[in-house]
Amino acid sequence: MSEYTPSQNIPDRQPPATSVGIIGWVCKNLLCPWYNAVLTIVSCWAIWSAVAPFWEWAVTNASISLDPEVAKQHTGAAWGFIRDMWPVFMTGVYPAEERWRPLIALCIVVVLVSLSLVASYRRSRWLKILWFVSPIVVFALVYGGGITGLPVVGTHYWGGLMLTIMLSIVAMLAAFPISVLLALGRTSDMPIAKPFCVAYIELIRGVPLITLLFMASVVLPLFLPAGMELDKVLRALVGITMFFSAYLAENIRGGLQGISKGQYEAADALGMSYWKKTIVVILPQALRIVIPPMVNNFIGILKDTSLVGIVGLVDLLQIAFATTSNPKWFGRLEEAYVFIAFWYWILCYALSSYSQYLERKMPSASK
Amino acid sequence: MTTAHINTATHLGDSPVVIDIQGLNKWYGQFHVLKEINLQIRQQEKVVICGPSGSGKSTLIRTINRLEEHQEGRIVVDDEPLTNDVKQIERVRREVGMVFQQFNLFPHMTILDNVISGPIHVRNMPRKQAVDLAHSYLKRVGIAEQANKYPGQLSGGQQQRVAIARALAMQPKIMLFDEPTSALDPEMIKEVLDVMRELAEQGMTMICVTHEMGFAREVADTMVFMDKGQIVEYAPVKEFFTAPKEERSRMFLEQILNH
Ligand SMILES: Nc1ncnc2c1ncn2[C@@H]1O[C@H](COP(=O)(O)OP(=O)(O)O)[C@@H](O)[C@H]1O
Ligand SMILES: [Mg+2]
Repeated sequence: MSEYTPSQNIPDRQPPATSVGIIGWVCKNLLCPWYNAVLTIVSCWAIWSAVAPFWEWAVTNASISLDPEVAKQHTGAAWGFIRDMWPVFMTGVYPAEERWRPLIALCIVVVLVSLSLVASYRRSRWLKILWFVSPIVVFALVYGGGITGLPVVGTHYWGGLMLTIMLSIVAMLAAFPISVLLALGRTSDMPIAKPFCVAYIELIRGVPLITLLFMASVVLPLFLPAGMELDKVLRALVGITMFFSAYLAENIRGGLQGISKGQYEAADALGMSYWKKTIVVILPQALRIVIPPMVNNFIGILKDTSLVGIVGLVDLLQIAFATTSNPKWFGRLEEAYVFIAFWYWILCYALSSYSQYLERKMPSASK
Repeated sequence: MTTAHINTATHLGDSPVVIDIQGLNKWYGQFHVLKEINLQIRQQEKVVICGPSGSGKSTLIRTINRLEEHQEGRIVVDDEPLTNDVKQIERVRREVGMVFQQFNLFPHMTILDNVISGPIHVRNMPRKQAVDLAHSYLKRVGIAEQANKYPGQLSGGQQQRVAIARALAMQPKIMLFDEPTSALDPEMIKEVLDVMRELAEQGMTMICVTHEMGFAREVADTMVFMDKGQIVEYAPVKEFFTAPKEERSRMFLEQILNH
């Protein structure tokens, strides 16, 4: 048996160099043990062999000339095509002399978003009112006619990124309240509402979005009284909204089931009515739980609006096809795809970042 | 033991009956959980319900504010009979505050918002007035400085005191407590019992399910002992502790006091 002498006054020391700093990090994560070093080398090689050709095409050998003949002398990308055609990518066949209208609409939205990001303005009643009237203003501006005195630009002229964004935002705004009601209906025990919600959700989820879009554009008009015609954009919106409200509803139902019975009982015991309880106590908690899957759904909406080409709308994706069949820049598909992919990515990434911000900001039960 | 009880707390003899339960029976499916319950509770009376776990104590007090439905019998709370009428149930719940074993605070709201939620959303009180009211109740339960925190940032004892303040902010006539200290660490039990004791002194009508016999002896007018869904013994507090009539209550008391 060895004897233990309690030692005293051991001075603080620095940790060993292999566990701290850049050297420590590189050693721990990239090089040790030996198979990590092998993986590091293989991964670097794989990344390089994918990125290098793209870099050559997109940067080294690329041209930015607006003249297609000059671009043809380069083996790389012809970014002049994008420089030349980008307004078409943004607004489609919207008349060129009226393009300032969607531009101003965009500015309005950007200003509103920026103001909302300033914490001290966020709670102001004015901002809420502005948000409330902004869809009307944007629509009046882009569509024209009526009291605006601007020439009417019908929805069949709408296209490009503008159409993609409008379809997504309106579909999100419309699908959200519908899905909340569907989820509440499905979790309730109301005799008629519950089976209806279950049937709706299960039916819609069992059908591809393309089918719904076809139904909305071909079948929906059959149900309307003769002579009444539904706008093509509106029909596509109905299809997208129906589809995503079913998916969103299932997510929200998941959130509702995550709320403990005690929360319902506490609200009941205070004497809250069903709607007070739902709006004040249950939904704020349930929606917070489902922010990640809900944003996933919103990203899905954004990307899946690219299917509206099938019912004759010219969204961002269809613009890529249209501009590349233009004789001047014939066949520049790669540039067009990279450009629209970049836009889809920007929008989806913005959505995803906002959701992470929301999650961090909201107080949760676990904190 | 299932005959109508005569109220034996003499100083309450002529107070009006605020809760009147007669011939109450309740089943969970096939399981007969409450059997022939008769109970009258007078204004300002403090009733402590005790009994072994699973004897139906929670179920009984939860039928009083209709968190549980009953199948047979008649419950009248503050002259309002409990039926399936939703408006009537909401009226009763406004007059009956409830405190749960698990606190059940709303975790997404600050302490202040928790306390004003009832006055604002149920009593339609203007916000400013509700905030003043909430502050006065938070002060009473000793949580005034924590008003802007979230429930998750408070200890169990503090959360339970907020839960009491939230119930009181509705200015109820009757308070129900379902084992309010059972989920608390021992050192926090006293702070919650102190609040309840003070509430009792101020004349609140209270029904408490609790195993805190010291508190019961000090505060209760009437003791109710339940076993297997029945009221086995109903007695003034002194009598219950000094000379319990029933064998089962005697055994229960022995177990719980010699612990
Ligand atoms: N929702 C329910 N469904 C079925 N049985 C229940 C339910 N709630 C409680 N019970 C049963 O009813 C009995 C009484 O429960 P409870 O009133 O909670 O007892 P106590 O509060 O006295 O411990 C227990 O046997 C319990 O298992
Ligand atoms: Mg219980």
